Amino acid sequence: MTEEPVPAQHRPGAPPADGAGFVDWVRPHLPAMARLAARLAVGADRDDIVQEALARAWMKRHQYDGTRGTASSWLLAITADQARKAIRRLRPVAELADHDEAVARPDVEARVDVDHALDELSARQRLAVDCYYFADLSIADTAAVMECSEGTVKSTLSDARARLRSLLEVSE
Amino acid sequence: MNPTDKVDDLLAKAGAQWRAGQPSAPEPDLDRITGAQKRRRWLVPTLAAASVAAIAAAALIVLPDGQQPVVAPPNAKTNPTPMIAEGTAPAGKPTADDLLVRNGDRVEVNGAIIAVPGQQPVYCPSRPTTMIGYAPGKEPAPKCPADVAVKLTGLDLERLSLKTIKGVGSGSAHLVGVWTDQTIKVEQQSPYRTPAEAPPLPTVPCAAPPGGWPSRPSNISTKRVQDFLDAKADQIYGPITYYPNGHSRKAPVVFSIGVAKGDLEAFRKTFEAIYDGNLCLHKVQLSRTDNERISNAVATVMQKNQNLGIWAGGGQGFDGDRIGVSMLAFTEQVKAAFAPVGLDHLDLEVAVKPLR
Repeated sequence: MTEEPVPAQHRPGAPPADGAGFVDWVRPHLPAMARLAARLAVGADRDDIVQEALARAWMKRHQYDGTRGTASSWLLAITADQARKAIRRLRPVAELADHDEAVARPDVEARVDVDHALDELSARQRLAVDCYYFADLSIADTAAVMECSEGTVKSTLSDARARLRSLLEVSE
Repeated sequence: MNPTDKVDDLLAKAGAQWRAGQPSAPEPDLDRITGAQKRRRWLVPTLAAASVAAIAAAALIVLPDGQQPVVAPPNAKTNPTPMIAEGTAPAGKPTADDLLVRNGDRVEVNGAIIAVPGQQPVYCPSRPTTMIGYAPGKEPAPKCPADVAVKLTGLDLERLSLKTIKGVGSGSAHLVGVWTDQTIKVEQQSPYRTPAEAPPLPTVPCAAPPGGWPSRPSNISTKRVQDFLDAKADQIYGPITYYPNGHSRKAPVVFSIGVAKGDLEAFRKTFEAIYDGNLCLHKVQLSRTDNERISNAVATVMQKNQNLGIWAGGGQGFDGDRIGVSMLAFTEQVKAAFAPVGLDHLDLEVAVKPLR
């Protein structure tokens, strides 16, 4: 039998268009959204970011395409976007300049603290570590947040671990 | 032990420790999510890089204290500026009368067909429903609520590719026929027509200044500006945020404010005394207060007429001129129900479309 085209609102997994149904649809993903917001927007209002992300997801719900990604990836990418905007509101514009390169600091060799070592990672490495290890996202969800392929996430994590190994002087 | 694995362990433990100290996720604020709060935040989808979108007024870049603001000239007429422009609201949609369906009218529908054995097949319009996932073989039989189901006579079920679940067939088709009291006498049936892509998002309702909109910060989210706009709720609509050049970090952001009542230039003069940033002022029909009033009236009509096949109402658009209402068909009964609200201010979305 040939499958007939199905309207978007009938696609399996599509966000419900009623508010209560939508809330039920997003609820399983709230913990990850909250963790991601807290991790990416330190100092900002985590809950406000989550609510704003939900509001945006609600307005964009008709654009969700389950064939292109999971609901969690979609919601987490929106959350990351809101977290970035929250950070921009917190930080001086001067600090918004791209700085994707790792910053070398002579005193870092003496540090063994993971948090301090994380500060020495490049922005992309730090983002991958925050998503994967701290927000506990899957590789696929991390890729959605980072807007890259899963392979790139894995290689970025590998680079981050190698860098941390050096910073933390981890020995065999 | 592989040293990289040891780092992996360190990170995993650090992550687990961090997560253990995190508070529970917030409970979704339905009013805020669906925009029912007093201060509405406008959110629309992202398009391609060169697209335009309106997003929440909260998503702003604001200069920190001490940063030199970019001051907009006080009057665009006497001191032309690339930051300030004026325009008109986008053109409207079909009028209510264009969509009115009476008995005997020729109509078209496009969507799901449900055929229960021993009963007339029905057309079931696409509408918001709660999606529930079922294990294969556990799906319930398709069904359609009586208030939105349209009985079909003359439908050739043999020409449909029906999927059968628990004895109930379902498929989709495009049908043309004659409407009589929520029944369509089918005259033509053809394969389901995939809906056209959603129309592009509205552009900034003001012409871009020479050289295009500049990238500059805005103070629109400051309490002073928000309080000012809140105090003008019966006069203005918005602000709506536009990204005329996409959403990259340095892309310009433009805030539009509709002026429904009073003199636009007078408002501009007053507002520019406290506002910094790209601004588009334009005339609109309805203020924030008007929108609230009409949205509430629509909700009341829906609550009192739950058998009229109306499944969604409220919400406001970019221009603040129309309130969306989605329904099976715009019949005389529906028209009468909404007439007190003001049909000119409704953006009607119907499943049963008359063919004039």
